[in-house]
Amino acid sequence: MKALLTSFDLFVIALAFVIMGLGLARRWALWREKKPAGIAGNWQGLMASVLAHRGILDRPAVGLGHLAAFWGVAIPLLVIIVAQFGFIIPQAPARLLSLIQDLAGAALLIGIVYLLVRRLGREESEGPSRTLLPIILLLVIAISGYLAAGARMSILGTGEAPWSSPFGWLFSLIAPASPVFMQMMIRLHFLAVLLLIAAIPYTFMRHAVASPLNVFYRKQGPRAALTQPTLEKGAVGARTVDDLSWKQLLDAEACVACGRCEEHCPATISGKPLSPRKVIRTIREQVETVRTQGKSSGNGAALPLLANDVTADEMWACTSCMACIEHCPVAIEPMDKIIDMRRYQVMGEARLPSEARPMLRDLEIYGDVQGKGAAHRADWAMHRDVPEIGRSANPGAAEVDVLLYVGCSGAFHPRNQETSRAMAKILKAAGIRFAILGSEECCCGDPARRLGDEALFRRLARQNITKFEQYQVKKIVTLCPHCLNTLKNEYPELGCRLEVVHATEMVTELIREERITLKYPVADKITLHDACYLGRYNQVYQPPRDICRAVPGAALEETERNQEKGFCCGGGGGRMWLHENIGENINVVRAQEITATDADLIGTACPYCLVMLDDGVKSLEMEKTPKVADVIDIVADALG
Amino acid sequence: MHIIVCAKQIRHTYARTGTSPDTHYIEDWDGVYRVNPHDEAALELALRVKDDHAGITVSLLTMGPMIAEHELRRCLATGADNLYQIDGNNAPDTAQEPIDQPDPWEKSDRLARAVKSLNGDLVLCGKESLDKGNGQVGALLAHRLARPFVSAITDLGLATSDGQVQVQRSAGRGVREIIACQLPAVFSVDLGVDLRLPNLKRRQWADEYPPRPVEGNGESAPPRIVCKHRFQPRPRPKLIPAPDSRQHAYDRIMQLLTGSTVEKKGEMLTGSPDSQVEGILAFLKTNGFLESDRSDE
Repeated sequence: MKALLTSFDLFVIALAFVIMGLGLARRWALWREKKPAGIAGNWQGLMASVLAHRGILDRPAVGLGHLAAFWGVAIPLLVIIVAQFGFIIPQAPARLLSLIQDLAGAALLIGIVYLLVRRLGREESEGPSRTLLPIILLLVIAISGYLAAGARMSILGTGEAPWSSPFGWLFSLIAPASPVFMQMMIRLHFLAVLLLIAAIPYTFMRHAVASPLNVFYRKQGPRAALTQPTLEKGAVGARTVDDLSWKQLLDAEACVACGRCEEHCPATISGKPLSPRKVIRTIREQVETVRTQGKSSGNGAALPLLANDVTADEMWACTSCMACIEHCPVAIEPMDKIIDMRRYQVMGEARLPSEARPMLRDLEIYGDVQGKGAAHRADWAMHRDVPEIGRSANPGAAEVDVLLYVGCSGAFHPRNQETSRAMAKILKAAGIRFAILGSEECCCGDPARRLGDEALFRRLARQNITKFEQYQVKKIVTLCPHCLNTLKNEYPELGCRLEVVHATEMVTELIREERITLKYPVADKITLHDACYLGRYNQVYQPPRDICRAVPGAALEETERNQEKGFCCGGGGGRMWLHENIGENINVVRAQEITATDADLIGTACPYCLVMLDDGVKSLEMEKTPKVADVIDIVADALG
Repeated sequence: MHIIVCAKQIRHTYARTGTSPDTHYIEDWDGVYRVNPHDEAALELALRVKDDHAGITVSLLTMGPMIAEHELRRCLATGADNLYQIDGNNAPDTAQEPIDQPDPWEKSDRLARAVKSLNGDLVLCGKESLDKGNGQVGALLAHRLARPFVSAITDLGLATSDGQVQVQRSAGRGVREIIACQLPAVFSVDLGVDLRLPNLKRRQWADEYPPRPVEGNGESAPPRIVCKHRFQPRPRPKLIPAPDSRQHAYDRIMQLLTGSTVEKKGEMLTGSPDSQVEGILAFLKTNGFLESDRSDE
């Protein structure tokens, strides 16, 4: 191929790129000021996401369609750009290149037709209108390209190697052998490509820039640990879009509204008004409004409130289960925005659903969610010879290998107290030197934090951290995944870095090292419910499964949605203390799904899940209600 | 208009986990320091009046050392304008034991002098305190100030024109009274109103706020009554119903140990009304509540 560009063409190309550049710069200006200086990118994740479409392929059909369209654009574009430099390549590789080019075009054509058909079938408000223009442009590009190639082949004849462009040959059957037609098609092709390039910032296609950027700057470290607002400087969560961070705004820009978050969101599925997709879209729309307003009014004095467009029912429906984050192919996190909005409601406006107020008040006064008080915190261990670290003769790290952090549920809820006793029994059977904080323990702060009361979270966390330091704690084992997440992933920001493991991880280790043996059968068929804060938050999927397999005579049956796709019990994110008035109850939805496995024992690893599922299963009023038990209970039972 | 809300800082002892009889088996961690909940309700009523009318100042008035400082500042953050402290300096800094507290006569004297020096038009206080439960201070305060007194109010409305207020009081057993009263007055407040939350900005302001001392002039009144002894309740024996004999021995022992109640298993009747009626009849007959057909013959 030779360079075919005239100076006019060069001018048009430059124009297209200038238009694109200006458009991108204008979008970029929306969030540029907020970009933190030392933010690190992630090349590996970017490559996996862009080149291999990791995440997008979770939906196989549309994922493959997108993959085809992506490579169908990327390969020919690359080849054509390279071709402008006028290489002379031997015939064999050139033919191979032509074949690849031809197949890539076919992939684009098939992919884009599939996406178009799929779009037209949908009745979503925002779908067709936004994506139609780019899709039609791509369609024009593909067809005109083939028609041009076909016309060229009709004029020149198929030559000695028709295999090198099979689809082009197909089109040559219908394309007239006229040079004028070929030139027209080439022009059309060329213009459509430039139009598409110029249109990137102004249409749906800007996701081609913003989404990879978002993946590149995806959050490092613990996956969904919340970050601290600087309360001292008066930051009290998100009142308007101005209070959101750079990454949070980039999230909104990167969203293509594919709806994967919605598909997995327990709130949406159970009929609540919340949709993570809508939250993100609202933020983007408000950012765009700010831009147009900013020009007219000069400053951002009259920014629209986030709460105007995200209602209280939506904001408080989130169970913080992280399903939206897990399933977003471009690393968008709707959850932290929802928490930020809650923070503003609670700390800025002092507004909180009234049913959750007594719980926060109990946390403030008594330091636990049930308001029973620190004096009763070790009641579950009464007369059971569980050592309390502060009351031993020589309090300090020397005598104790691991601190058992019981948590409010394990200490006070009658059903979860059994789990605490089971854990103490296991640790004793394994001969581990452990202790509890007893009355010196207080809530880890998770319920307050998820409900938006950051100040209270800090107070509780500091109280705990002081105790950990006082007794020189090295390793902590928690019974509750919420405590695990808070202690392991969120305390480091407050300067407390300790080794924190969940009880299931520790027990798995004990079983593997044969320090305990499970002797007695407890059930024929066990199924497992994955706790969000254990699985998605901390990637602990295997230990509960290993434990169930170690139980003699038990078969493990997986539920339909498990591990990464696990469905929330409805108790996280403070929902445990809020009423569920709209739609179905999430725990009942989950209970129906679990009981479909016909298991006679439902294992879980979280006190909230245990209580929620127990309620859910009982409300189904089945002939034979399966038992719900913590995995730790199961182990203790099997120990004999 | 100046509303003064009396807020008592108390140590609320809710448990007895200690081992020493000298301390009445009470340890440090058996109590929490907080503001008397009735006084919090009083503050809420005052703040509601402040929300509805302009030109109203709400001041908190506390007595003695700041034993529940965090909670008191939280009250301040919910919307009060000032925080006054009586005897902040010469009181001992240790925890205020209920037995060592001044008697209601003495307390009301100090409070009355403080209210006079602050020019309070309306004084609200809690119906009683959680640690002492005397319920006298409000009435005695009204007596000393020679003002009308309404006890146990649950709602407070301010008429804008003639300085008259309308209050709702609970007369017990769910009976309510609406009472009209001329200002200045003293009311004591019962629980029941939903409390508000403070926002963070107010909290940060309240944390920095220095309590303003008020000193009553002259000697305070001598105590009229003296509390000689204070007995803690004996722990009540826990009543445990006999476990269900249908259950396993292990479960029965566990029930006795944990002191949980016996779960009674019910049976849900479904189907048409007729079959449900039959079900109920069958149940009554098998359990001997109804004589079966056979005995009729």
